[in-house]
Amino acid sequence: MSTDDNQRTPLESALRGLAPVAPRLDRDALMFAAGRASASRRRWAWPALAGLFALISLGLGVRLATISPVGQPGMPTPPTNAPAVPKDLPKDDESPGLRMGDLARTLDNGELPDAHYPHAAVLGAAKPPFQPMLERDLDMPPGGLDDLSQRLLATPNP
Amino acid sequence: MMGPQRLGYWIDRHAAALELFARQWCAAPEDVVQEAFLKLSRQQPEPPHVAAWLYRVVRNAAISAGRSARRREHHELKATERVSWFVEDAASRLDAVAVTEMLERLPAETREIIVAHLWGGLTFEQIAAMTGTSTATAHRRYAAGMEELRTRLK
Repeated sequence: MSTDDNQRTPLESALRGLAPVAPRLDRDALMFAAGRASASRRRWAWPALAGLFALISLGLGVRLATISPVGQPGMPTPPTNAPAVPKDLPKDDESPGLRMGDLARTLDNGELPDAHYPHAAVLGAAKPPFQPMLERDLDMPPGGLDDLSQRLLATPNP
Repeated sequence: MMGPQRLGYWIDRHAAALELFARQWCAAPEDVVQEAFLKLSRQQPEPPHVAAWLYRVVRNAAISAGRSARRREHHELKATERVSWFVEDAASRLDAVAVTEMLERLPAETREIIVAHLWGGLTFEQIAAMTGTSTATAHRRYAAGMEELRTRLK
């Protein structure tokens, strides 16, 4: 009653010598069925993946078409009472000296020139006394911008 | 996914013994064995003990198929022609038909152990795992069955 061939009893060896009848299953048909099952599984994977991506694309398209970006969280919206942009904007060939003069006057008054810089009207709600900060950023002594503006105003335009 | 060469190897090595094993419970063992091999070809990864896995799958499917067939064709099964489970061999001192009849008379739980061990090559540990018993029980049933065969074949 052992598992090794050399330790089998005579009866076990005689029984083991009897060969089971030949299998009735069709080996070729079985191999063909196994191969076909394998191929059908592979055919299923790619269409499923393509369908998944198509559904994702469709969903994203619908979302893009139906949801407006205005009013979305995190998106800045312009104030409804913002002033219209003036039509007499400065021309590109206007002399830089004039603009520097405007800047000097602005620094003297602590305001932005609304006429030449229409966006200042939008920013008007936040008009800080920025001269000290600007002087600090430019590494100038206090009152340095005043001196600069005086010198610029004294310089004649070319 | 098991390759065709490896699947062919397992078919050639175990198909005949698996049909002999399945024939204990059902009248169409080749269908059960074919389904088992198809299932094996789909296994990913391959079972660690392929022979033990095949015998367990065939056993479950054959028992199920046998129950269904008995419910469906109760009277026809009774009239089924008795066939030998083994190839007639003039050189053998055992008669294939007589061995078949003696195996059929054994209790099912004993016969399946003898077939799985002698012709399937399964160890008693694998047989115990397949039948849901202990190794000692499987070994004891095998010994009792062999003793009964020895007595009848005298």
